[in-house]
Amino acid sequence: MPDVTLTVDGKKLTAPAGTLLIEACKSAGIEIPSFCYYPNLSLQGACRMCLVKIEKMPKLQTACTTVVTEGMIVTSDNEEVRQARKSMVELLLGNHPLDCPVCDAGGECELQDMTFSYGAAESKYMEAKNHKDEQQWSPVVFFDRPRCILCYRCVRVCGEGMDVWALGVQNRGVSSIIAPNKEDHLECEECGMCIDICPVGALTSGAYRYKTRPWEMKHVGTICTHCGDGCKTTLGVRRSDSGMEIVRGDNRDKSGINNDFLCIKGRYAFDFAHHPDRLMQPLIRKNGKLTPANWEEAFELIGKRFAEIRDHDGMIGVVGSSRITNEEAYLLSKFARVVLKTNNVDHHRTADFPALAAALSGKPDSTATMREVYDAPAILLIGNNPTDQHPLLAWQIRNNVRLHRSRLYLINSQTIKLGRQAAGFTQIPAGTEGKVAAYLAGDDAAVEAIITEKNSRETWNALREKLRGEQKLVIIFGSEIRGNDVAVLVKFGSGVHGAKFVCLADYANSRGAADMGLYPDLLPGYHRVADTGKFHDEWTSIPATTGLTLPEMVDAAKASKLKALYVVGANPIGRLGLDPFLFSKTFVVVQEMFLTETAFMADVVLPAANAYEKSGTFTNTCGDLQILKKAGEVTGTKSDFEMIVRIADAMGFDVHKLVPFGAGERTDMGQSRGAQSGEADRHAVWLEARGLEPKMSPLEPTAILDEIQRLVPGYDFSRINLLAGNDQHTTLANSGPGAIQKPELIVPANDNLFSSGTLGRYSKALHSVMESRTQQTSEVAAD
Amino acid sequence: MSGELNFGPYVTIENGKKKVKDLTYGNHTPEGVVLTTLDAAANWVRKNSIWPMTFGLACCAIEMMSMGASRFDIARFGAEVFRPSPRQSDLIIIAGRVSNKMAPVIRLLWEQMPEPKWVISMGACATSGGVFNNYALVQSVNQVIPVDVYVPGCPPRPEQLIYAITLLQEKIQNSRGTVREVLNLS
Amino acid sequence: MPVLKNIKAIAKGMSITFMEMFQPTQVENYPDGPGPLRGARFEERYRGMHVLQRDENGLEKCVACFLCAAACPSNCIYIEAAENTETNRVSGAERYAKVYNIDYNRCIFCGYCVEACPTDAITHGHGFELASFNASNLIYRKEQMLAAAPAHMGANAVFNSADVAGGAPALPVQGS
Repeated sequence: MPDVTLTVDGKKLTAPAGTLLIEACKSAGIEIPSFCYYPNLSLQGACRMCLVKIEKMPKLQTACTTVVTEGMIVTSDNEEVRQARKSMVELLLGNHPLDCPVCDAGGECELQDMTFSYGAAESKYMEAKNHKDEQQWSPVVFFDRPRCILCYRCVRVCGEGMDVWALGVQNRGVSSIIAPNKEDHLECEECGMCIDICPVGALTSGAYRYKTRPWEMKHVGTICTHCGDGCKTTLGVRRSDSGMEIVRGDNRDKSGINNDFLCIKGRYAFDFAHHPDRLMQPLIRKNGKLTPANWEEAFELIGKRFAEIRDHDGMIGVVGSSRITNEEAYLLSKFARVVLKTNNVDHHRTADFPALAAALSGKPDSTATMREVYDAPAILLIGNNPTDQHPLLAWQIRNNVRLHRSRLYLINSQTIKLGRQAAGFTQIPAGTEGKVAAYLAGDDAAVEAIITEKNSRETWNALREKLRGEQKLVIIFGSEIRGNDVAVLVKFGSGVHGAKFVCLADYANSRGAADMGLYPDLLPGYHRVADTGKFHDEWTSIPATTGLTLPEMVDAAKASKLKALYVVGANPIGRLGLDPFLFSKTFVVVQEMFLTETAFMADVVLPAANAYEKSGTFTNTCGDLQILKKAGEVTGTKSDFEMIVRIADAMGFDVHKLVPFGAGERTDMGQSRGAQSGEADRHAVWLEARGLEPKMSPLEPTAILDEIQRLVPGYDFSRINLLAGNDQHTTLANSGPGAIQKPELIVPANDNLFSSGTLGRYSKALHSVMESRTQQTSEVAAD
Repeated sequence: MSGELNFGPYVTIENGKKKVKDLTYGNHTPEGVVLTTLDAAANWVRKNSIWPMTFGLACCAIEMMSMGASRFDIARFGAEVFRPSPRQSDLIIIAGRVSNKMAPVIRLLWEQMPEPKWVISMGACATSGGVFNNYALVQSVNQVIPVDVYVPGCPPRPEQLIYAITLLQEKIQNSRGTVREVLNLS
Repeated sequence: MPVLKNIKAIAKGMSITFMEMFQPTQVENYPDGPGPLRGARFEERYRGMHVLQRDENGLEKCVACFLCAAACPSNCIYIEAAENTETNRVSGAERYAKVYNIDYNRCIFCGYCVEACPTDAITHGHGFELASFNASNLIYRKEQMLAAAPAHMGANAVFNSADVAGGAPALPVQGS
């Protein structure tokens, strides 16, 4: 688009034709107030706050609906404009209750700000204000009608942004009210976007309301720990009896890959951290009962038993988690190989990353970022239901289609909600996703399996031709495509110009766990254990034989061959539905937040911190690396990182060889401030006792980040960008050869919008939403 | 009352309000009639001649001086003799903010005082740093010397300081083992 | 005669002393005076220990807006808010202070909290006998600062709005 030149307040501005005046002014640093205007939502022109004076126009014009034109001369601030805005505020305050001291929005209310800027706090009305009682629309959404200023933001974000259309406007003119489309309650995805976007306190959050005030909280930008999308969430924390309590989650600063989007889990489901069942003390089985113990005792016992079993060539199994940080996953992988001297490492696999790494080896720029999903001109989605399992991905796709006219091709065995945005939806028989990949890659014979009544051979042919003709196609596939099918799909992609891939995994750091080598046959960066290479040089003495997968460990336990099992943040007994007494002859150590089925049967249970309570990095399902910052804190828990290091120390292993601390960059990940202050001191006590240098603690995840950056391919990111909170893409192009593994080891989590494994089980917010629904939710995986 | 948190033994003060009982005085090892009577006599003498040190650190010292002047007349409690030397005083009133630089000096002065000696922390700054939560000030004088009575206020009224002195008198009167300490028997 | 001069001077001085003996005393009689203040004399504007006021229904005026805590220059006010329910109504608005602590170790009695309070809930009383042997006792809780409830309601009573509106004595706390 050609640029046009206009003058605002005597300042010459250039903006592309078609830009809205309010946006042009904003980019030039001239603020025009508005309530109803919201970027990327349709124009409303309801609040009249953005009135400006444009020369040659008889009346004041709304900047949010005026498009810039050549030679336009605008005055954004003069007496007339200020008077108009003041009148608008006065009218809005006509029936707005002045209960700011009680209102949740007090302190971050846009109407408050406007009143401060333009005055009109004194009303000319003598009449009593028209009060209406507050309504509860859902367990997490409350509506206070008199506070509403009818900006229609909530209606638009719910409809256009979320494609839910649960909110609407009733009546006309002065008697207009915002109301749910289902009489008195919301039937929606409970994402809370309406609450977040509300400029005043009309819509309030059930999880946060009346708990505190905005300025009382500390705000910590971290990454959501629920699904694999890696939304940035800004957590509001404040002091509580047991440490730092998280009271709110949102992303109003629009930083991160998700802009201001968060789903129900990101926005409300942080409350598991303060569930009364949370473990806050190590438990050791004595006389058949789990009894509270202290940390020293627990570490001593674990160290002694692990060392004994290792030295007597007993079999030790290690089960990692998809929710621990990259640093912890890397450390666990290294700990198993170097300290326990075993390759029996596995985790809950929800996507086939090794196969993807194998297929993309040597192909740079072939994985898409989450941001690219929002910009891509065309998207092919095979399998999965992002609306339920990847809410951010669904939001990106939906808004890409809405705002950028992107073409979405959908191939799925079920009708999913994203079909409403799709340029083409092709339904296939269940389980034939692999055949689709084969057909797209050129195997004409595979079409037999995917021909249905609706989709003939010709339809498929046309679709394939269309896809081949696309540019910069982003190919997104779920766990339905695994094993060899991944390579086949990549073969199809290499025929499309600029095609990129996204492999969908279910947990917050599934990708990280895979990248960091929580596999029996793969080291970090998808290097095979059998190959000699840099890890053998650096780590020394890695066992060369492939270890046991999780089902094989279970078999070994059945045969009483597995002597010890070390479970870090996983629940194999619950998830695989195993016999709880299976591990009765095995020494089981579990690091968990709650007494899960596995923890309940363990010999030692160590209370773990969750992702909101530690620092580190997460890699989302697209491969975007982001930093986690410690927000909450619960006394009596330790991070998995610290526990692994302490166990290695208790086994008599030189911690220097495990965590290369004291060298490399010294970074402050925030330990000296806020919620984390004092952390370094507490570490220092332990360090001092062991004659280690307190310059950088081995219990600090940064200590191992240097090694990850150096050794793991694709992780050579810029540290300064990471610390600044930016997302950085990690590629699979230079990974090791990867491997084609048994596809049956991949078990999708099957979480929906309102469930999130163990975390979801202990979240009251998610429970209250589930209970308020009549619809039955599907069976959920356990970790 | 079910909704009320229990913080220990309460004593009722005026208007039916309750307040946590402060402390018990000294150790309660049993002593004979003679010693306790002598104790009471010695304590009575001590409590009526608490000589404070002429020592002020900031604004609170003005109120401390006011306490010594005619309207409040601390002579009523035998404490009017402000001694210019720590070696002659029984009580040090930390009247003002304690800077990091002053802390060792205060410690030295306190060490130079002969036993028995008492400390009153006067005002918010001396007690906790008050509004000055910054690099320059010691956040509470009890990090340097042991404090007997804390007086909130900024600065406290002379009455509030007199109340503290009466509390101190109460503490002195109730202390045990005075004579044994004096005779080095304990 | 120097001797006579001296005697005269002494007599004059002693006469002033003698006259003054019959004047009312200027020394404040605290702590032996009468009344709740025990002889201490304060101006009406004196800012002493805080009092959390109640409204005409005996409900707490404080709505836990945190403005006092925000205004406090020494950060001595700690509040935890909670929501009023039909069965447990503590304040007049939607929200009440579940925990309201003032740390008198730090409080400088500046009165900013009183100025900031939108509901006139927090005020300065004339309580001044605050000194304590133990610094941790100087953290005062809501129960200690709350104004006495109307006689028929009992201290710290939990009120039921419906009952109060109907003129009935409010329900006391469960179990008290």
